[in-house]
Amino acid sequence: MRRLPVYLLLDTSGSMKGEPIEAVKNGLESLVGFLRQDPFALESVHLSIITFDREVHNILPLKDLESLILPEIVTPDSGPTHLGQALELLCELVDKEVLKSTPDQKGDWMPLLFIMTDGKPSDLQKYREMIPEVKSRHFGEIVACAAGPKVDDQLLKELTHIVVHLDTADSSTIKSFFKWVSASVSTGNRSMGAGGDVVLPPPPPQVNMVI
Amino acid sequence: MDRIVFPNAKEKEAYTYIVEWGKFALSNIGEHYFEGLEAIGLTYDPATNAVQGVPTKPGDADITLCYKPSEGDMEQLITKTIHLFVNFDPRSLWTEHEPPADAPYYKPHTEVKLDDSGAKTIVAASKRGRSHAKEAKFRDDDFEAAYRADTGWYVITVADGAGSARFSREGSRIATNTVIEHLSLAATSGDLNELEAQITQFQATPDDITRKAIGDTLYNTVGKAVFQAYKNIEKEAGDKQNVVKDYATTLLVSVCRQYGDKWFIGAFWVGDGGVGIYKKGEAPKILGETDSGEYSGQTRFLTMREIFEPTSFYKRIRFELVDDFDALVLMTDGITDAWFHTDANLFKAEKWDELFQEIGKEVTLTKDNKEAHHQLLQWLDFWVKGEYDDRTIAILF
Repeated sequence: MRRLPVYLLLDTSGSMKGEPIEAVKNGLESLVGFLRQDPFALESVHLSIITFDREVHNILPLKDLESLILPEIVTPDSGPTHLGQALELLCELVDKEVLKSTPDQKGDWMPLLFIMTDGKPSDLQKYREMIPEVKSRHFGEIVACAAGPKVDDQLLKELTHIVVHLDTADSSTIKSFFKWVSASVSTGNRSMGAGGDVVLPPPPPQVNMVI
Repeated sequence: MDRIVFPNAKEKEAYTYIVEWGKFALSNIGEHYFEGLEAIGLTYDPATNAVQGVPTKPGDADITLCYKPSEGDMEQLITKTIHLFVNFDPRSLWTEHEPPADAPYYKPHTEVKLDDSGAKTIVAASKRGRSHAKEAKFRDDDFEAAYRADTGWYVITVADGAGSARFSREGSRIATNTVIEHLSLAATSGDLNELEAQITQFQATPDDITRKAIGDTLYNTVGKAVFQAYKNIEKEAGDKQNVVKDYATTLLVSVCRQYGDKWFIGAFWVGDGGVGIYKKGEAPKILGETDSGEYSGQTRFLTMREIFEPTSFYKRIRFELVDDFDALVLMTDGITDAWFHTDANLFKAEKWDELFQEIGKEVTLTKDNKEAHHQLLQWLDFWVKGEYDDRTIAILF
């Protein structure tokens, strides 16, 4: 079976505690619930979740939609946002997990990457070091979501041209972001037949694209 | 773990899970039962701790555990929510829809052909994939085949329109039609007649020179037909003010004829899918190379200019001279991906034996079977997870 690997990088730093992280959990549940009713996704999407705060964890190793069970997400009371370190782990995982076509194996579809954060990377130097590394991994698409007023959109734009900005990090906007991710994964899955670019659906109303 | 989560189940598929109470910090469980299991088709046996059955209802199951700890004499039962997700049967999610009535380039969802007028029989079938059915789109695959009784030539071609190109269904139709039309004429007008002498020479001295002579003849006949297919697509695109890329399609062509006690088979190949000569128990002879990229879904199409660069075009032409064969097979990637999975498997004898064993369960490949094409169409419904493309196969046996 050909897999569509989808990597989610989620900010679990102290500032996400409370309503935002609850919204992320709900968002993940609706994301998985939605994709499980889409036959394209059900037969191809494999999901991996990496959380980052002071520490970085691959809380859900790459797993098919049918059998995955969403893990519990915890947030520390306070602390830094190690996005750079998360990107480093991401690259390691992609190198290890994403299959390329060879005579003896069928390659995966190009992987998708979604990043959600409500702050600035605390490990800025590492973050900048990892940008070219991530770009060389040939993601079908990279979407960064900046939730709340504290995020520096420009820093995320160094990583990808698709940065969406949520003015607030409350449950309704975060929910709308996950809806959008669902739609992107579904569409992306279908449009890659001829090796073309991934087509993103138009963003939902609460999400502002940063141009 | 505080949350009690059971492994996911699947609708209509047998499920067994032995509950490990320790895992949920409930090693001390005493009297207990579940509420809501029967409603989704499952039962629980407290003696073995086994939850089993065939789930009938997909989605999040509503199940509650009611229990008392083994120690102490608690009066009230404690209740806990059980998390169990039942996956949807993918077959129920793949719904079928009709394309809009005013969509250009109508194409029927299935097509079959049986031609037993020659010494060998041509049988072919093509079917819209479940992805196109779900999205209310037409089939992108196409095929065409002919036997010329006057010259003894069999000509077979299959094509797969690119998923991302708007009118690729017409591209594949034009390509296959043009090739058959052109090669039928070439076959009669004598362009292929030189082959007989060339084959005799090749058999006497099989070297690069005699091989090249045959290659050149194929280049000037099969190659010309392929180029004409490209020209016809270009013309259609121009007439309708579309771009050629809108009609992107792969193309596999094969010509076959008996000379004395040998069979000659020539082929042209651009894109994915496959052309192979099968003889039971032997490694298949594959007449070309799959165009594939690093990631899934990447291939080359007839509509790409680079295809017609002479050296690379010449490499796409192959031929074989064999004593006899059980089947000559042309198929689109809907079959090769689902059946062979990898490029290397396409060369394995056991994979081909399995393929013909499976086909044999639905289709009797004998000359007197007048239903072979309909049976082959039935066979195309075989289910492989993640393989939902159009499927086309043409067999000469």
